[in-house]
Amino acid sequence: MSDASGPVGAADPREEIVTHIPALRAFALALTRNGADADDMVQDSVVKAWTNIEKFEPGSNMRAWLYTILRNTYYSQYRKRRREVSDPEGIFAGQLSEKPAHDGRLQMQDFLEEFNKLPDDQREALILVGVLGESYEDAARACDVAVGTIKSRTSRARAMLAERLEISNDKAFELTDAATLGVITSAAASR
Amino acid sequence: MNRTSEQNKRGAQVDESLRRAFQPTLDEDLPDRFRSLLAALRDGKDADDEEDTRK
Repeated sequence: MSDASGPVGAADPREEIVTHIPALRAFALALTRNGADADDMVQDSVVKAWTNIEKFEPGSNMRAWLYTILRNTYYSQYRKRRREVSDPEGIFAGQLSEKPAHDGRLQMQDFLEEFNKLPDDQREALILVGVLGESYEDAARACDVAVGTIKSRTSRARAMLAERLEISNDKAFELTDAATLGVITSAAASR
Repeated sequence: MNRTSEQNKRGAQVDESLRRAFQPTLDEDLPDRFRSLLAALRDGKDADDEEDTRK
């Protein structure tokens, strides 16, 4: 086991933490619905993981361990002081509202606002399984619940979003161009 | 199309929409704050914090 206070070598498991930061940021954004809080939370979680690497079981799934730390951080610290969102302006709406009307963007904005209204447990299940590609088993481990619970939460979240947004055509919401994606991303990161 | 198949299809559409929304975050270069943080951690300037690391 590596000494957390010692020099970092090529085989140091702490270096693997770095590779998971993008996924942690996405998970944090889904939980907090606020870009600034999300990155603060990821930073806190990375420090905790780095300084407590001896608690990581070699050979186990580091990403699931990091999700657990992030999630614990959210529920123990950030959730208490977060703004009561749904954020009627929309979490992604601030900068979007300054841009010309755009059907695809507005559709996605509606979609994200509905996603933000889902309960915490459904948002975390859906982001882990549906977006980050985690297995039900790993997502259940990260959330410290039974596999069946994660399946149920994921299913309910999908059904709720599909119902609220009347998804009935053959394709996902249109994000029509790179510019649209860029606007949404920058808006999310700025909050 | 039976009901389960339709639900699965809609679920896949929800997932695809969410992936499109979050993909830019996943693709984004690591922000400077994290580069600085990692540099500090590698230099041993990390703070001890043993909370929330329970497996």
